[in-house]
Amino acid sequence: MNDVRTISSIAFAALTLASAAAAADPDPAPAPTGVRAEDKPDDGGRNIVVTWEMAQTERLVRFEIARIDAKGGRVAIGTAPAVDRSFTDGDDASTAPKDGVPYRYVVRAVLDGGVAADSAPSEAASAAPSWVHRARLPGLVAVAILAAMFGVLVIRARRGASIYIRPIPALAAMDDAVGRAAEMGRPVLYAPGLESVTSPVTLASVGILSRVAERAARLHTRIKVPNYDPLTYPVAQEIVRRAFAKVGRADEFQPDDVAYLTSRSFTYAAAVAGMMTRERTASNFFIGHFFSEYLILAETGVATGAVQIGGTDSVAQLPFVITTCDETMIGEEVFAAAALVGDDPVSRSTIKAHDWFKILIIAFVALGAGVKLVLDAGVLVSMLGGLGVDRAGDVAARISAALFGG
Amino acid sequence: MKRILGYRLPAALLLVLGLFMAIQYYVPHPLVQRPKELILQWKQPINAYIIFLAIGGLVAMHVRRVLKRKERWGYSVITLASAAAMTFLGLAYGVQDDTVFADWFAYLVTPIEATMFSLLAFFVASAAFRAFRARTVGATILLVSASIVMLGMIPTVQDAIPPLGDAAEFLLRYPNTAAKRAIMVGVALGAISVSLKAIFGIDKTILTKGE
Repeated sequence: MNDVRTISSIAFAALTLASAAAAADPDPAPAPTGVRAEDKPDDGGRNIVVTWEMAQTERLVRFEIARIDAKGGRVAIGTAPAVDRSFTDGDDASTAPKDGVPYRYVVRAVLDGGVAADSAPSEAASAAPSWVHRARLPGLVAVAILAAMFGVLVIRARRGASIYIRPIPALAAMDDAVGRAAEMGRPVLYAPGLESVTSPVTLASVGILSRVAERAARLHTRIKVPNYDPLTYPVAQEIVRRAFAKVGRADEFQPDDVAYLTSRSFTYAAAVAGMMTRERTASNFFIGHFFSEYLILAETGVATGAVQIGGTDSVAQLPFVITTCDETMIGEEVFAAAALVGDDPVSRSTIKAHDWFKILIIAFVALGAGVKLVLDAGVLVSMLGGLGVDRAGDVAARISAALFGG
Repeated sequence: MKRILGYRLPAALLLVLGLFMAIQYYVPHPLVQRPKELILQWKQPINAYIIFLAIGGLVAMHVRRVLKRKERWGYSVITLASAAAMTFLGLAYGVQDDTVFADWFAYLVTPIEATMFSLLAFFVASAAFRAFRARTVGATILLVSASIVMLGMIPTVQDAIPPLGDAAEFLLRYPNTAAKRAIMVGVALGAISVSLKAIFGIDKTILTKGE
């Protein structure tokens, strides 16, 4: 009997202790630590990035971020999911911080059951607009180098220096393709792609169109230019009209041959495929940026037996262009062809600058690959060790991280 | 005056705005970004005018075809009637989800476009058949590499013949990526060249002196 009493007393005491322990919450809510606030770099201002640290737990629900101004006023500015450890104050324009005003930030971790704990406030930080987008500086340097090469070559071309550019087979084939259409008494079709004339590849395409249209005008051949983009349509129409006028055949220009059709890609494909089938175009040019409708256009051209010349900057469509066209301009060749059609030394010089820059890129790629190989093979560590440098491995790792980003 | 308005003024605008839009990409400061936003807003009315011009040209072309009873002029009547009906429905009842305009679009235009899209399956087959005929060394390499990639990407084949999966992975990761990057670098340089030519008035495609 005494044993039973003893056991009951122990059990009661255990339950009492457990209840007391639960009431005292032995696992208090952990607070975020290391809260830092910094101006967001490379932006137009009114953005402060808040970062913090905290171990991930299953109890964590979210973070609540509050901003404290110089007078101590605290404003809740947003929440971040439990997996995040950063928040940008400024994403919401209505509550964004003011430039030049110092703010401190507090991050509150909210756990299961509404338990919450605040971090210590961060050091004060203020937002400021940047004058230079540092992440884009390498691009600016590259464009500046290309522009400098461009300038040097244009000056040389204007002074009469001869500039050799490798021939582009598709360009030579264009004249033959138009000639074929003239011999067969059928029209030529020129599709300038689906992008607006504000896109560089369409601008290059309408440059090539001027040459094709001029050749067609000389040979009394109709040229049909179906347009997908409303902005490209008046430009293409003017270029074809001017080409006919240039060779003294303005009266043969038919405005309806250069038409805007639609801005729905598959509707456009249906319209152009119908045009090819009905009019039996002898030569088709597909030069510009195309999407998945390209294959419908080009395969219809193959079915009608037309000679086809294609060129695009779209990497996804290039295999189809190569497969369906008799001559292809791959990527940059479209731009090169546009420069060559005018047979103007200044335009040629721009392509030469292009080639020089590619040599520079190849040299950088080779240099980078060589340095990386040397670093990975441990040659640098051996060299530094041989020179008596302490902790040569660490030094080599830091050099590698600086050059190749970790 | 004609020369000023027809060439010098557009060329000067192109130079100033082109350089400004190139520079703004590297300067996030509001003093530069606000004018950029304003310039982009100016594009809206220009775009509206251009669309009006394009659709006007399309309608005029089909009206001429009908009036002159050109070959297949009946299709022009259908085009004009469809355009008029959709315009009327859009203006009269709106273009929201539960309108007649939206229904016509969903049950007429979308299926027609889907039909065109589905043709791609057959065109891909016919193009692939032509490309894979091993008549030259290049076409043979294409045939072999494409076969490896196609088979090597199938999970069951990867399990049955692991080297085939590895070979497909290698082809996609190295030769394919290298070639794609080379093309993209060339395209980027070409785009910069074309843009510089346009900005500095070297490209005579759009702006020509005295014509």
